[in-house]
This record gives sequence, structure tokens and C-alpha cells, in this order.
Amino acid sequence: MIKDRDIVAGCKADKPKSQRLLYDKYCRMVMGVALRYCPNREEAEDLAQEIFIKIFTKIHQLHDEITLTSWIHRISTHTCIDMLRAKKRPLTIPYEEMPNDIGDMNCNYYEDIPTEKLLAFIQDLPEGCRTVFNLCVIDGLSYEEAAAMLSCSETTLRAQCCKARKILIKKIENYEKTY
Amino acid sequence: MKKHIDDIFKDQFDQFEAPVSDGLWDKIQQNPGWQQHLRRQKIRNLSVYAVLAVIVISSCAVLLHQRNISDNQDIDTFSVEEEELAVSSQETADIQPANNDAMPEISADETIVPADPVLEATDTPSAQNDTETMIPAEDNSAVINPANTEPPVPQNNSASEKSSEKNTINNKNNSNNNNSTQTSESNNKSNSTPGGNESPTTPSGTSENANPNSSLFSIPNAFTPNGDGLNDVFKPVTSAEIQQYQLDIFAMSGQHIFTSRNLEYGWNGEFQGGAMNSGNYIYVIKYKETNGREHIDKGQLLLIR
Repeated sequence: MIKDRDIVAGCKADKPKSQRLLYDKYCRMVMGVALRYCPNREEAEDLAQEIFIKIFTKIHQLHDEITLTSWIHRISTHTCIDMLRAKKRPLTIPYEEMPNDIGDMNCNYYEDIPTEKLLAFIQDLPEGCRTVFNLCVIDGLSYEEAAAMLSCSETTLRAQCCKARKILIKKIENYEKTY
Repeated sequence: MKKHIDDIFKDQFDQFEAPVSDGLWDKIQQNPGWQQHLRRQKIRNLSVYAVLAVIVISSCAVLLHQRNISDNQDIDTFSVEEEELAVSSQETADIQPANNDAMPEISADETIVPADPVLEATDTPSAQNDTETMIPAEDNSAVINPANTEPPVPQNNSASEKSSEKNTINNKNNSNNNNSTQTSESNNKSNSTPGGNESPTTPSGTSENANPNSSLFSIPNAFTPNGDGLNDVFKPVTSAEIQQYQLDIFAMSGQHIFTSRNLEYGWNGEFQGGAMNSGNYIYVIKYKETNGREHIDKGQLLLIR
């Protein structure tokens, strides 16, 4: 097993072999991130390309190869947000769509929903809701950090997140009912 | 069973990995952004190589230049050394004459009839055997102003001294054979002529045509006017077309003995009806090439009875 240190050193020297090794090792993780932020697989693959290009061109900024995994994760999420920003899809939601009650965020769940189905639920979310849910819930950023990244208010993020949760709860309960 | 919605997704998607389609790597490689990056990289590398090449080439050029300069300096110093050598040899030649006074008497016993008698007889420099260039210059001065013949004496003496020494060595083997002395004589001459021509130390600057290398004549350096039909007449021979030919013969004392403007008409060894003695004489040949270039060939000849 080739160590991350050697791979990173090779990538810093722009060696195609090392770049391929890094791709082989981390492509599944990158793809997992990309799929969550995109509505479908095609867009996710485009996003993954961008992510890897960014990784290869900015790898010399990585100082400690121990943090390679989290660095790649961070690059991935940032690239996703950059791409969404480039598409100029609205992150904010109109005031009338704001949920006024937070309600019960627990739902019946029997651990039998396949990950692919849950991924499909996320991908089916509206753009803004999906991004905020990914950032704040799955990737564990604070609302403050997310607000800075997305350059919008924390309140909007909270509202988006709440909306996303409600949609997801509905979908999961529907799923549990049908199966 | 109730579970918080956040936990459901957190548990499922923490460390979530998804399979990747096979063509993704190729897509990355063909991505315009990646291609652009590679191109930039290539340009950067090329520019680095170019800079390196320029540095290497320029350093090479500088080195070569310095080497050339040093070579030139070497040549300069070498030529200087040559000049110094020439000067020092002259000096030694000047110093030597002290011994030379004694030498002719010793060598007088030897068979070199030509060199010594004249030396003793005329006491003039007259550089018997070797110092061709000295002689012509001197000869001119002798013709123009016989009084000037004195100054160069020491050099000529030394030179003739050396040559006489050579002759003694040569002639020891050849004993009384005239012909062999002639050949050794001619050898000496032929050896000495080119060197003499290059010598820049001719005291008189009267020789206009400083390029005697291009002499068109083959000139005998000795003749025997004894009536045996062999070499009875001194006559330069040429195959080239020349104009305004004039041959003059001088005695070592500077006395004008013979003149001829006809290529076919040479000197028979007589002066005013009387046969001249054996010894060295000076010849001066003036002529013009068909292209108008003037030549003056000077040298000495040996009369053998």
C-alpha cells in the first residue's frame, strides 16, 4: 500500500502516476460527496471532475498529508458550492415558504432503507434545501460557517434546513408505509 | 421506532462512498480545465528549460570567449618571446666577435678556400656564406656609399664565423674536392636564404622590394671560368617573362666589375681584360615582372679558378 505521503509528494511533482493513485484511492469518497450535492449522477460526475482537477492543481497548498482526507472533503464541498454559485441557483427561499413551526423532527425508521434510496431523497430536495442540509447536517458545519460560505443569513439557512428535514421525514414515512 | 431525521442521514452518509463510473478518469484527463492546466505546466517547464538552455549557452559562450582571449594573449606573449629571442640572439652575435678574430686564422688551414681568404683579404663584413640578407643590404650601402660598409662588421663576422665553422666541419670530410665544397656551399646558402629574408634587422632600409620570396630566377652560387666548358659563365636563369633586366657584379670591396642587360650574356670572370681571383663576389639583379612589379635579387657568388 502506497502511503499518502508518497502520493502527495508525487502529485506535488505533477507525476501522472501519483495522480492516478490518488484518484483511485479517493474517487469513491469524492463521488459520494458530489452525489449528495447534485440532483443526478451526470451532474455529480461533472462535479467530481472539477473536484479532482482542483485537487491536482492545488495539492501544493496541502502542508500536512495526514489531513489529506479531510482536505479532499473540504475541497469537494467547496467545489460543490462554487459550482452551485456559478449556476446562480437561488439559495434563499421566499418568505411565504418559510416554515413557521419546527415541529417533531423524529420519524419512524426501521434501519431498512437502503442508502441509495436515502441518497435519492436528498437528490430530490430543492437545490437550496439540499445544499444546506448537506452542509449543516451531514458535513456537520455550523450554521455560522455555512452562512459565511453561502453568503446568506443564518435564519435563511435554518429555515432551509427545517424545510429539508420536513420533506425528508415525509419521504421516509411514505417509504415505510409502502414497504 | 423513532429516530431523529438528522441522525438517520448522518449515520448513513458519514464516510459515504459511491461507486465511480469507469470513464471518469478519462473524462478528467480530457477536461478542458485540466488540459489547460497541463498546457500551462508544459509552458512553464519549457520556459524553465529555455532559461536553463540560455544560461548554459551563454556560459559556454563566455567561456569560449575567455579562452579565445587567453589564446590571443598566448600568441601575443609567444611572439613577444620570439622577438626577445631574436634580440638576445643578436646580442650573443654581437658578443661573439671577440672570439671571431682568432677563429679565421685557425680555420684558414682548412680547405674552405672561399670563405677565409676573402675575410682576411678584405676585412670588410662581406658575410661570406650565410648572411644573405645582410649582404644585400650591405651591398647596397656599399654601392651607394662604400664608407658605410664598416658598421655591420661584427654581426657579419660572427655569422660568417659560424658558417666557416660549419664549413670546416663539412670540409674535413670532403678534403680538397672543389665540387663538394660547392655543394656544401650551396646547401649553406639554400638554408640560410629564407631565414635571412625574414630577418627584420637589415640595417639599411634601401631594399624596396621586401618580398624576395618571389624571385623568378634560379641563380647559381658559384662558377669556374677555367675554359673547361663547364660553368664558365655566371648567368642567372629564368623561365618567366621579365622586363628591364640588369645584372651587376661587384667585388667585395664594392668595386663595380660587370654589368649586363642581356639575359643571355653572363659574366666570364674577367674584369678589364684580366681574370679575377677566386673568391666571393656580389651580384645584383634588377628586373620587372610583366605586371610591372619590380624586383631586386641580391646575393653572393663564388668564383673558383
